[in-house]
Amino acid sequence: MLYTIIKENTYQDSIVLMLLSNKLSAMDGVNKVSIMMGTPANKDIFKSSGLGTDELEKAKPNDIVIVVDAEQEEKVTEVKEEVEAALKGESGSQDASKDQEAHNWKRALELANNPNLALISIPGQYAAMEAENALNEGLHVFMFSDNVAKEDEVKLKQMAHEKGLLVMGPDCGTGIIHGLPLAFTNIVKEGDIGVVGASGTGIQEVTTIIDRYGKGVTNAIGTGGRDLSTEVGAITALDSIKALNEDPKVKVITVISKPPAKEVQEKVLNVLRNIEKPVVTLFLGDKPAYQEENIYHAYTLEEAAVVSVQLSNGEKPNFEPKVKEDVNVALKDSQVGIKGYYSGGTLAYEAAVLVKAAFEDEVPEEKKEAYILKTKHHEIIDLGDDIYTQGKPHPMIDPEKRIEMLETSGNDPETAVIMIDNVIGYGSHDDMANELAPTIKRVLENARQDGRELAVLATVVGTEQDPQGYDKQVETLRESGAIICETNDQMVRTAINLVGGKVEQPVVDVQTFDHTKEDLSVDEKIMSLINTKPSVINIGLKSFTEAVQSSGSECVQFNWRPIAGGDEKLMKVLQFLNYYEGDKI
Amino acid sequence: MGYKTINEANEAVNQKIIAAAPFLTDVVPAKSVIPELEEHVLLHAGPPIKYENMTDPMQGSCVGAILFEGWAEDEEGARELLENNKITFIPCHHVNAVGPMGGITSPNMPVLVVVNKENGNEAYCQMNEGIGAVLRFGAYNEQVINRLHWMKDVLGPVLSKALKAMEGGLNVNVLIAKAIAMGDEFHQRNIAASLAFLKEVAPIISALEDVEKEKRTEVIQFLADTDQFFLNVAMATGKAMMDAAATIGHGTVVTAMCRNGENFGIRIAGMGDEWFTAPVNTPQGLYFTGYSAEDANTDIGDSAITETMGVGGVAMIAAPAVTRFVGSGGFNDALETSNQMTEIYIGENPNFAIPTWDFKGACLGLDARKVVETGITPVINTGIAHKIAGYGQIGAGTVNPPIECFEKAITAYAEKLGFKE
Amino acid sequence: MILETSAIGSVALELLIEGKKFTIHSIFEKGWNIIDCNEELIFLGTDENGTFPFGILLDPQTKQKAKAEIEAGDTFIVRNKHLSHNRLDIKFDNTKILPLNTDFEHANINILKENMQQISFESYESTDFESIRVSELICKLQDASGNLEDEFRYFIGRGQGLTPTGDDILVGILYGHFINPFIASNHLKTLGKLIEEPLTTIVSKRFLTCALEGLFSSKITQLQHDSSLESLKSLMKVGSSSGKDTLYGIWMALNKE
Repeated sequence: MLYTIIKENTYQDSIVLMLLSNKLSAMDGVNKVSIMMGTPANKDIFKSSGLGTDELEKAKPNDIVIVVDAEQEEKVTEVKEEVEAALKGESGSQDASKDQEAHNWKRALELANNPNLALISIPGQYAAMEAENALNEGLHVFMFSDNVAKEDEVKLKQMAHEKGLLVMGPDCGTGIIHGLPLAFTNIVKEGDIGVVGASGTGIQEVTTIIDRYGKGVTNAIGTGGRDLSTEVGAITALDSIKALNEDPKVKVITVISKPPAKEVQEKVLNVLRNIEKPVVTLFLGDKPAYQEENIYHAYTLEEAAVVSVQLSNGEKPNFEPKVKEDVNVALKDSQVGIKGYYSGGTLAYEAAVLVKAAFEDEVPEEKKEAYILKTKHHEIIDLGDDIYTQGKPHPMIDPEKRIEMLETSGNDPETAVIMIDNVIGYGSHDDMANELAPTIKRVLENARQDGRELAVLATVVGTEQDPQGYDKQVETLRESGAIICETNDQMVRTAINLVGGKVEQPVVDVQTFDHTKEDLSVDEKIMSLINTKPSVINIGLKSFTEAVQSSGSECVQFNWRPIAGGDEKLMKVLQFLNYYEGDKI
Repeated sequence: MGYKTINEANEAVNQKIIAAAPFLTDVVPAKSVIPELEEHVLLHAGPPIKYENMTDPMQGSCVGAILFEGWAEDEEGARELLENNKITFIPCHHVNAVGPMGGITSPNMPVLVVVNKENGNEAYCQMNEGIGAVLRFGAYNEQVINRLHWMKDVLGPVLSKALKAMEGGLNVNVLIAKAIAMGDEFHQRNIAASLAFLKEVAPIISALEDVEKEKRTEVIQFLADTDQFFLNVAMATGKAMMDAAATIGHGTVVTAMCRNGENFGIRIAGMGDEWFTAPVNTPQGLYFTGYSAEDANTDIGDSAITETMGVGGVAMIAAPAVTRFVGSGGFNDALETSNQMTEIYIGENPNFAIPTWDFKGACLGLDARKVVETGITPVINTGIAHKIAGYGQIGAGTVNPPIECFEKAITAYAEKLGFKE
Repeated sequence: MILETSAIGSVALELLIEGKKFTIHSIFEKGWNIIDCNEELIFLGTDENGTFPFGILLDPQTKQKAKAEIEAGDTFIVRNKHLSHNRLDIKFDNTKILPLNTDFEHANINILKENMQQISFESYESTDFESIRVSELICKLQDASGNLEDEFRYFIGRGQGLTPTGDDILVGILYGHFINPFIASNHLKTLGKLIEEPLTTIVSKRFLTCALEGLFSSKITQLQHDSSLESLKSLMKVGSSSGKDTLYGIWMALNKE
């Protein structure tokens, strides 16, 4: 495809144009490029060399004309950016000081301005080493990387705790630190609810619901999924809870996790029982058996969010689960199945918990790999699971697998309800609703032609401030024929309702427990992390740097590479030479 | 002397480079200082190479050298000698010499003599012929051969007289220190050093009573016209310094980098004279009007000895003027290049302070370990030759050595020290 | 900030009428262009590319200082022999006037031709301006019969750069004509008329109108006084290819059949 860029009445030194021409020709996906002044004679040249376009005719002799032959239209944006950059400064490289990047610690620390947080997203086998380096440099660590050994996690968190630092993660998908969204995160209003969470989309669901209720979250600290395991012993969760307790701006503390090991749960609850601020806990998967005076035990994510809002407003907790009643769908008797295809792991898990609770007496669960839940009729799948992401982008970015699943289940005459989530925010697809909408439409239409009706339920996890825009995503999905549910809780209960089931909300008594006194003091460095805009060193994925910078915080990009390009033999050779001591030399 | 660790050995190599005292003392016929240069023997740039594997410009240079020596009547005769293996080739580096581009050096060509007084060793390099059609780019027309004769008969002897008139010869370190402050990096830009050199020799040459006035004028005019004259002095100096440093015999500091158009070769201090080679890259850069990357010859020449000693592309920040010429952006890019080089060069040379780098010394001691560790290879500034002999220079740019050279070198060294997989 | 100019070209001086307004059209490494309401152009900057009749010469420091203050689109007004900008005042009252160098008779054509032999123009063969095409134009220029409008249209505004190659070659041919006249006057008229059409950039148009009047940049007129290889090389260094393109035009004009 040919694309024309005309810079009207623009003159540049020819060297700039030559450099630009070189740079553009070297870009991947650019087949051919020509830059000339738009004189009539040059227009003839463009035409005779196969670069003639209609726009070209508009160019005048004093305009710089660039015609690019590129494979995809997206390339043109990139080309335009290069052109702008080259034409803006005389040298195209002025004032690079702001955008400098490092590829070692020394340089990264030089470039950063009082850094206090390292954001690590390099491959797991190296992440632990770099996290240790970061801690040694006195930085808190946010580890997006997964595949970090559990023993490394224990070691790092103990080390951090001794230094008065925090290690968030590994496999920490999301976090908000003093209003700064990190990794895959939504833009949530700042406010007086503090969140500590061991799950990624769980934090996203809770914080976005809080945002949509008009309240805010200034700190949502991710701990990584294994933090509440016996070995790790909730080191990060406990330090985070204490920090939120000490922060006078926090009114309510909300703790989200899958059910932890018994002794760890006791440890966490003991600390929470020392705290005077109202606390909401959600051990997703455990049906609360009691309430406490100062600790509200929630059953679902929505409940945790709604109660947090109520407590922050000084109201008495009062949660009534909602079901969408006005769903107009005529199901045949043979249509009994609920199919959930999720991109958010915790959301899928929550769906499984509720579906199981509704039907546990009727249908036995089949243990099957790649399913969060599989029964005779129902299936809940987390498409973000490793089994589905091998060599493919995450379903929050790539709609392909979901489209496939939607079509297969839509054609299945047993299917009654299909549930999908759309998690938006930083790191997610630019417009996932638009990718899924045509398929939803088609699936509904196909069913209709087949003489069936079908309910496609959808929920959007996000806020209006997110780049994709909550309302816009909702609207696109609604137009496709999907029924929009405000939360995952509501979506799952609606689905259950449609196939004739119901999840009972636990009705429980308030109990009191004895607790041992706990030292609630927190290191000054952790307080300063949650009380000021972090200055970040981002080690790994460059898009994280851009996200941090666009939120107005300082960030230095550290382009990390494994030593010797990750070649194991050479790494051994280097280790041998670097630590060689001997008499032979 | 023993060193306990590789760091200690490398430090010793660096100290030897800093201590070097290079003096340009003479210009003499190559065969008078290089006994290996007998009849039908030619020196070439880079690690060892066979005639048939040489690129066209290097083969062209061979033809030119044979015609200059009179070993053949014409091109056809010269090609016949070459193709029938009647010519013996020796890498410059094997006989204390270095040569730019093709590096083809024949017995009667005059060479610059640089003595490293600290270590007592000498190094040689032929003189720069100027720009345009020149032997080092593979040209061998009459004009080229005539110039070579003039260099042998006039330029060489006159400079020899002038240098001998200076007591102990010309202190090259002083010249380099001066010129680096005037924006030279000694590979792509030598104009300040060439002028400073002219400033030193012009009064002496003018006063040479036993040389005809016409010849004196010719020599001074040639020196004034030849912006890159000092490059070859810098190369011989680098060779004299790095050969001395190599006598430490231990460690992972690179003591030579060179290319023959086919392979890039390096040596490290701990592995003596052994070459570690890998196929060369093609330079990236800006081309003169009418030429493009398709016309470019692969990387060639011993001139990367300048980067081995820590100047050239490595010292890009000293010569911001060059960055545009080699197509690598502006001042900040030059700064970034040099800053990056500090990750693979382990020291600074206090003799060569760079004002535009806040008077930091030029890089010193390229550690092959660091190259492998970081994946960063040294930046070499270079002229770009046309791939057809005789066209000459068609652009300028930068080139990086293949990292495999460094990988092979440190692996071999580790094995020498007892490493087993 | 009050800045001094080093010298001024006569064409530029004529344009600097009291009270007249100029706009900054474009800013380059070596200086910047201003244009008046008739798109008449003046270059302010250093002489690294030579001096021009439509130029105002600044020393490098002055250029640098001024450049820090200006942006494209800013205006300059001529007041009391100053070019006034809201942050700058550039004085040209006591400055010297650049010589026009119309002493074409001083050119030593033979030496010029001889020295030019050392420069290879072979690379033009693979371009739109191969030697046959250029020499054909030059041949026709000598003959008053016929109209060369189509040929000129081919050359004007064709090629890379701010002064497209074709224009530079025409300037070279015109210089060849002034040192050794051969172009029939009706063709000069045709060319003069054509460049009033929007066929090329303002800068290039400027060079061509001047060239038609026998006014050339100092890098070119230098050849009259010193026909050495050095002068040729210094002209070649102008722009990325402009100097060489001009030289090619001169070479072809001098070697006409």
